[in-house]
Amino acid sequence: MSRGGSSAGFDRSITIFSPEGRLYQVEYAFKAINQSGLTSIGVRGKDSACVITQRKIPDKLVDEETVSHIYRVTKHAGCVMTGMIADSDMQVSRARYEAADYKYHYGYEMPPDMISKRLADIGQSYTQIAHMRPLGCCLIMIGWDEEKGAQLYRVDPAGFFCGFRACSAGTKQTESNNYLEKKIKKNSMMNESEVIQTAIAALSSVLAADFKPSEVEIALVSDRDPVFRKLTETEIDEQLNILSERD
Amino acid sequence: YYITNNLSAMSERYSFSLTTFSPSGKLVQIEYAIAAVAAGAPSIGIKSKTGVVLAAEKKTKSILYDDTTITKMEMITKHCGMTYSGMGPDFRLLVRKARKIAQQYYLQFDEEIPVSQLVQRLANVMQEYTHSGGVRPFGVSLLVAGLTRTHHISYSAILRGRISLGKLLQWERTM
Repeated sequence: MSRGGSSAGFDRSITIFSPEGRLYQVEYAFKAINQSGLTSIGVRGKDSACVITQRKIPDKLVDEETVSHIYRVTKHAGCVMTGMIADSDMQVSRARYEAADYKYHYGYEMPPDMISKRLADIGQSYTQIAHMRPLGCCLIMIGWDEEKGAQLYRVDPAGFFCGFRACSAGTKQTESNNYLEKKIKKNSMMNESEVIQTAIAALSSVLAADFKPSEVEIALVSDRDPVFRKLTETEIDEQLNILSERD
Repeated sequence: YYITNNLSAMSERYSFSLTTFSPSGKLVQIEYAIAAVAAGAPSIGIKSKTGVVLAAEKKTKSILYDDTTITKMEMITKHCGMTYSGMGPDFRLLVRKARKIAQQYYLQFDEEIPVSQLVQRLANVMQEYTHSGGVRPFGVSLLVAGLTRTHHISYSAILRGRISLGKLLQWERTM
């Protein structure tokens, strides 16, 4: 197949470099995350971390109990996925497989930072090897690590991953990050309830809406209860009430 | 499904190289990869009679990032390490490959890999990605520093796919 040697317009359809040194497919993958129209936020405090995401039921006929973007990966770690749902399912399946394989080989649970790193490395291979496109989804993982306590990590389609004090993904990512920066500047050592309150307040603020308990999902890990778990609707209701009373 | 880690198995589906010559004889994908490096944060290495120092800028865009989790300086073995400018995810891959190369050498020869050998093999890996089917070049340039068995200080840079040994090699964003 002869193409005359220049990038000949392929730089937009597979992950090769453009003349400025950019990878267009990776940049387009970031845009694909916003297609879902949802936003997710993660916050980490002194000894706990939580993630929150919107919960929109796409159709009245859908069984709402089956709609969720929060997934458990190991006993102490789980994630919220933002973006294309099919790609999200694939990444979560892979995360679960990698974590189980790690446990089988090494005899202890895969720490959240290692899970994130492994998924990020797999994501990087999609940006370098032409046979598979980057995934159009962003993973925000929280977990409890024996050595390091509560952890918050974010993995994006470029294969970049990093630990965060707070982060967000999705349509309102920029606004949300601005809000979170102000909060973290004031207090980066939040306790468990402050962490949850900050996450809810951030999402509420950028979406300019008050939520009903069925419209958000929240998941939490903490020193007090290191098992990754989703809050029940009753618990979410409690938290929303606390927030509205505070205001 | 399963994913193989074998480069040739994956590139079978793309049996042609994505890095090809332009009419003027240039490999433009490599030039563009260097542009990606130039867009990255600067890193510097300096070697003296008694040691080598590597430095890299680690500027995070906001306080939300936990910068204790960002590693721009990575250890390959106890006696050598490396840093980079360019694309972080590509660097992580090269760190993994470098560590494996070092351990394979140790397994075979029962001695620590000389830095020159490590750099040679790593540069070879980077070259393969400019040659093989279905892959793009790495968007990183590396600075590798270490101490060999005879306590000779060694310092190499893999820039533009070529190895340069240096007493002092400074490398900035504009390069």
